[in-house]
Amino acid sequence: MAKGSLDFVYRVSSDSVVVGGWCFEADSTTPLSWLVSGSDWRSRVLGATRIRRPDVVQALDCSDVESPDCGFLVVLEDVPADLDRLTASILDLSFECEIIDLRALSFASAWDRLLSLTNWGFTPAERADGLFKHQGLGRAILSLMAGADHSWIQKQIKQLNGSRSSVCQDQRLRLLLCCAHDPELLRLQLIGFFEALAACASAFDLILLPHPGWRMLSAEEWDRLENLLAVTGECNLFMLPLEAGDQSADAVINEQLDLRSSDSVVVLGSALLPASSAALRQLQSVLREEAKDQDLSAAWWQRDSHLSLPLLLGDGGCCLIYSNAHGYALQTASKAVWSCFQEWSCLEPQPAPEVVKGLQFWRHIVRSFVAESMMASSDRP
Amino acid sequence: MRVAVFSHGHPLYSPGGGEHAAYALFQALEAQGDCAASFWAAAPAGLLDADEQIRCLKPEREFLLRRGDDPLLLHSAVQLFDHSPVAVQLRLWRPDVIHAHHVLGIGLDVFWALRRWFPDVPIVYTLHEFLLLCPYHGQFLRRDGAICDEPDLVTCARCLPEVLVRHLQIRRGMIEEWVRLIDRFISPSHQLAAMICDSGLLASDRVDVIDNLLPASIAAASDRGLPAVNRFAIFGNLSRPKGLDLVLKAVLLAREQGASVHLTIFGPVKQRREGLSADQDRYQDLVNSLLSSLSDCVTVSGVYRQQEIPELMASVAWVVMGSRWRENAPVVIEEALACGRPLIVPGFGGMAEKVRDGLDGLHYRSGSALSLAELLIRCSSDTAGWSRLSQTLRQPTSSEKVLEAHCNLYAQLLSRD
Repeated sequence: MAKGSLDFVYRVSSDSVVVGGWCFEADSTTPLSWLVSGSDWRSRVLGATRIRRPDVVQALDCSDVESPDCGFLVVLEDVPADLDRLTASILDLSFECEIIDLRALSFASAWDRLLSLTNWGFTPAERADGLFKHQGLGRAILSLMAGADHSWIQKQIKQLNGSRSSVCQDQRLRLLLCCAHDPELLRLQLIGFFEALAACASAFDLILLPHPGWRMLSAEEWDRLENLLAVTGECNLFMLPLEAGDQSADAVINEQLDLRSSDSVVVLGSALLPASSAALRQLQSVLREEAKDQDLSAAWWQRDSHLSLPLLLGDGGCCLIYSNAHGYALQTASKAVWSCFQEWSCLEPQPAPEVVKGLQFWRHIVRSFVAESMMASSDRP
Repeated sequence: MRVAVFSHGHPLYSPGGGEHAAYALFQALEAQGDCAASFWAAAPAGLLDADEQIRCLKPEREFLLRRGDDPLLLHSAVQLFDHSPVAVQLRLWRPDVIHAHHVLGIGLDVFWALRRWFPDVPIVYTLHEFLLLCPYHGQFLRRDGAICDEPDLVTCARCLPEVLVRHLQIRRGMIEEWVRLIDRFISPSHQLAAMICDSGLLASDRVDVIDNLLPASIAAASDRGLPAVNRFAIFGNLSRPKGLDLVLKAVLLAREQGASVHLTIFGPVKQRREGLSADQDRYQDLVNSLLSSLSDCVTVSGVYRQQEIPELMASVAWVVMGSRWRENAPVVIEEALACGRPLIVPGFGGMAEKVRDGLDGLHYRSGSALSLAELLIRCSSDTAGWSRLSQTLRQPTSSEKVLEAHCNLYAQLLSRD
């Protein structure tokens, strides 16, 4: 008889749950079946990306005969909203498990709870891609995010703006910074930005476009960001509402900033400016010739010779526009240095199998997944 | 001239070489008639209240700042607002020059605020260790204990597998931005200056090599003659990279060869048992095991204060170092030389630069307990050799000269257009 268990069933939306458990003697095609209602059963395969569970092997004292990669994590759809217990089976095993509704928790607690299903202290980090993309963990987090209450960060943004002057006075240099989703990359963005602007004699409006992934900022990370923004000093800081980041930066440029080619606007971008951006196409006519063909794919923090502004490419890389008194320039980094799941790519000489990383890594993967998904959706025609 | 000296710690709470060097500079500046100085140190963890940004230790002179505990990404914990308590206190003090030692505890972010608060005030930075280049404890010592020759993203990621590679990149990016804020760097050793310039982080014309400053009480220490020539001592913070275990193994080997060797350990050996990691625990077990088998020829003297150094040095003939990493410009070397004590050091890095083999002391093969044991055996009965060395020891650069070099640098920066 097979051995196995369902450890947790977490509801992430009105019709889907994430199931975490373990089972020996089950391969990737083994189905997990669950009861939807009456005699209506559905099933899906456990999948190829497994979770390392040395705790199970140790507890059952079968370390000689069983693989510790017996854990699994799958997302089940079509689980009725009123179901509070899940009845399921794998091979000849039957289970009944309480469904815990993660939507009742804060978003930060909820996605940490989901991450704990990966048993990240033991599961090799290179399985993250499979867990997020194929096992459905990424989709589950996006579902949670869509329904979560992010009012606290909206409130913080409003308060921050409340203490500053109003945005976009005429005849001032306007700078739109498309912020990165990773708080550490954002810190580098801001620091590089301020240092370069310290040389600016004239006052300017600094407009921050928050990344949609900011919904995942912790309170501590927000405090750090707010503290760092203090060094903007004399500039007129304005932060667009978080919802603006859900539109493409393209739309923000066109609609919210009412950009005209005669304006002095600097856009420091990352992630949110897709190559197909209409705003960029509009600006291409005034590009300086010498800026057109530069390959910036491997130069994300190199300084640019034209304006001494650092290139601030973010995840997924894409476009950077800048302008000075003489016109606009557009540069595209089609090959992103940091694609979300390419943590290993810069380490090519070093194969990285079986590396176990900490919670910080897994949180980063979540943020990156969310950022990549946002970018993909904003790039859709 | 008014100089605000920033440090990663106050020697009152964290008696390390860098902290002492920063504090000695502050004291020496303060003692000058035409200069005012203040000392702004990162507070020890847990000392300040949750909402406390700054605490005044001595009015208008010594302050503790909220500590940022992030050796990797070097976040600052102090508030950077224009009217933050730190900004207000600094504005009241009105520095002409800001001189920072180390970014640990202080963090990087605060420097952007300093530049904003005091746009015309030069910022000088004294390099300690290799922290700007090496994210793994700043020692160019790999996790497996091997010396790191070429730190790059790949090797750093191997030492720090739990850290995101992108964060290693971001760290480098932050540091590259940060160095642009600093008007001039000081390196206490040529080795560190060369390494940091070779790395491409700094141009050589931005780095001055100036020795660390010793407190006047030590600089003025007089030679008190030779105690028994077989008395050796190791001083300082005795973490694994400092190689106490290597020195103990060498003593063990020397004793097995029948040599009469006595080692005194001046440093907080036993205090390091609390809050240790598993690696540190294993190391401590090793040290304790060696200590228990060497109880007849090793004395653990424990914590000391810097002002006691002359007296402690007078009780031994030789000062031994066991460091596994290159070191920068260990303060203990200058202290030993000031007290007329030859040194026995691994022949590499900052130790080889500061201790001339056969003149200021003797070199052994780095990382080799056997090589050190051979020297211990030889030195333990070589009174004539000790006397010869005591005649050729260099004098540490005088406090006056070091101070003058600092003041000249400040003046040069202040006279810029």
